[in-house]
Amino acid sequence: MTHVAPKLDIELYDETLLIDPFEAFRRIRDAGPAVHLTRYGDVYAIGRYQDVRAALANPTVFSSARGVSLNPGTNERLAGTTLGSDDPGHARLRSIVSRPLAPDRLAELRSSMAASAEALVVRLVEQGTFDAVADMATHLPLTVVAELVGMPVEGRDRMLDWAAAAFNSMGPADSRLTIDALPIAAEMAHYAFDPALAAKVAPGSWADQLFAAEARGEITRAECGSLLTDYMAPALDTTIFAGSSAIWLFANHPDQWAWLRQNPEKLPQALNEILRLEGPVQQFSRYVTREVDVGGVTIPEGARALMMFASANRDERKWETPEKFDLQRRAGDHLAFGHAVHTCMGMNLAKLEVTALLTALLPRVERFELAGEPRRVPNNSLRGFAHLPVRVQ
Amino acid sequence: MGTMILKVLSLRDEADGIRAFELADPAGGELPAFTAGDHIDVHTGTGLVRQYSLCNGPLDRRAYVIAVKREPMSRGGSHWMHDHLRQGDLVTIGGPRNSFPLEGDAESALLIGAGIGLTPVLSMARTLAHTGRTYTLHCFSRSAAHTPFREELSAADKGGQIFLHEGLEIDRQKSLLRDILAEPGKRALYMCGPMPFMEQVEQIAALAGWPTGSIRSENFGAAETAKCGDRHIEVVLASSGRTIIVPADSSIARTLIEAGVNIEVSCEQGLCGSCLTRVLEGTPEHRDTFLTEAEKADGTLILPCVSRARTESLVLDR
Ligand code: HEM
Ligand code: FES
Repeated sequence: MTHVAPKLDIELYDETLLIDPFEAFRRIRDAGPAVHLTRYGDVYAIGRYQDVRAALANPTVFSSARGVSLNPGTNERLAGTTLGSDDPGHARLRSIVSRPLAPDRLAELRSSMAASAEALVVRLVEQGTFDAVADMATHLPLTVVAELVGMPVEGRDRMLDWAAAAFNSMGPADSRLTIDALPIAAEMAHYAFDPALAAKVAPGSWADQLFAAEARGEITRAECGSLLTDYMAPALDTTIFAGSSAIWLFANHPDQWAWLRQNPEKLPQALNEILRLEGPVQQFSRYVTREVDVGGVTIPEGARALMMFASANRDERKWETPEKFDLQRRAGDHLAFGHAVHTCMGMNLAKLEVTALLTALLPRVERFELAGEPRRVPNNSLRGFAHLPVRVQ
Repeated sequence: MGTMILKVLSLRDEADGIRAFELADPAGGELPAFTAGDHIDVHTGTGLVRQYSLCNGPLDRRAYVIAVKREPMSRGGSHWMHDHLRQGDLVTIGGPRNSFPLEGDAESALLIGAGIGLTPVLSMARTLAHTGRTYTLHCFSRSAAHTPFREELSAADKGGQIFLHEGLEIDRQKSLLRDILAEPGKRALYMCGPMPFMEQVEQIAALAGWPTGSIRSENFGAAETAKCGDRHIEVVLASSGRTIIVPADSSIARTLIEAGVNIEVSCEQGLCGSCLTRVLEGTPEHRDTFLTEAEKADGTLILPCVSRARTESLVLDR
């Protein structure tokens, strides 16, 4: 027997709630496997680990082809991206976008990335006090996007604004953050679709390879523009937030940093626990193509279902003492990078960047201390810091 | 193509360890159409989703008939189906979907099925019969008691020729397969059975001159971990020496996670590389789309969320 989904009147996209959402996530999980968020119309939140995972693995019912945001403008913009398409088209696009992100290509980057992280960390440790966001976590992702994606200099200046806007523009249509972000996200799309761009990108760069694929007829010009945004939008704030949130966790849990210093080979495992608790991407949505049963309750056809990655990662049904930051936890099957066919394409790159940073910090920093009040950024799909002043010893 | 809830109309033990289930619309309506070779996803009460081929003919829209083999090493899907599913129960299914289509123009087909792998080819035989085409169906099994749907298979007037090969010695089986496959490419060949059996057929067919790619075999593709004919694998963890049995209907990665082994997964589709693991002994059977062809041939890496083993056991660097 399936039942009508429980209803909750939660302002999930209220700016204070975006900063501190976990109590609301818990209420959603406790209310049921799928919960009708009446405040947003036809939006059903799926917050429990098993159900999020199962829905992500069922893309025929939980479709991305009508976008993964909560407003029509952004969903339209997402058409033609890997993020916003279904198989088989999605698989074709993904095979093209993912080429430079393949492990053998990434292996070539490892040593230069390690060197770059080390130079940065040496300088910051000498300095003693710095902003872990602007001075540290931003460095590698920005370098990667500028140099590897191959954007011309005039485009690079706007890149951080575009990236933040791309994630803010995923919110509900009446949210102030969405409304402010839409024109900026549109500017990014405009830039990516500019016919003059092909001649300006760095030769051999990822962008250049997309234009080459277009020239070979593998993709159309329109697809090429969409796929460029697949590189530009999700590669910055996500990884910047992952790196800086890691520092925040370690500043608050010096014992965990000490443990990691003693067990540096456990870094990959530690990274999973960091991403489980402070995963930068909170949720995206899916279009429900037909009435579906989720854990005994019904989501109607045509509704939007929220895939609550971050809530799933704190689901007490899945994790023991989920609020606890415990590097010895086996958190290898967290959902911070999603699951199934849309699993993050930049995952290995993001891990490489954060690993390079933490590897450079491990031997050089004994402990992190907050050197001022950290400030979080309210964002409709992301969690992370705008400022994180720290002092290192 | 989403999910629907069906009722178990009847169940019947078809052979040793093989039980057939008839699943029908609780309201008695016609079910969505399907074609030969289709499978459905059954959401078992263990939380696992399992794929089962439909064995009835597509004209029969009254019910979906599936046959489920009890996997001795399984802790999951097949046990639940055998031990918990009773007449009148409701069960959620997805599909039907096809990954093993009968090509429309096959005037005449050669069908080979072994054990539980008979189910999709049986459905094909029924389709061919309905549409006035001819076929020859060879059924291999360990003994008469292990042949599913034996009564139907032995009944006359099937619109094609059916041969039962029960309990053959391995050499006899090989020479028989050589005879069956003696005329390469003359007819379309479809087969399904346990992995070692399918490999044997492929080998003999290749020697007989069948062009590569001309043999159609059941393959659920990268999206699902279970594949017709999978068997259990013994996995040894190099760090502790611990041995873990991976059942036929669960992935290596899932089984290790459930056993408390620290292993990372994200996509669980062989796409993302999270679960990448070094193989110290044994030969992987690669089913991912992540490793390069060279890496696959090298055999020292595996993506245990989808890949299995050609050897009975694998020693993994875990
Ligand atoms: C820690 C950093 C990151 C996190 C937490 C993250 C998270 C995610 C998540 C949760 C998804 C799934 C979206 C869905 O299911 O709808 C995703 C998809 C994606 N990510 Fe990431 N991401 C990160 C870094 C990156 C980087 C560095 C890149 C680019 C180079 C990237 C590119 C993509 C793309 C292209 C997709 C769409 C894949 C598809 O639809 O097949 N991400 N990411
Ligand atoms: S989990 Fe993605 S390849 Fe295994």
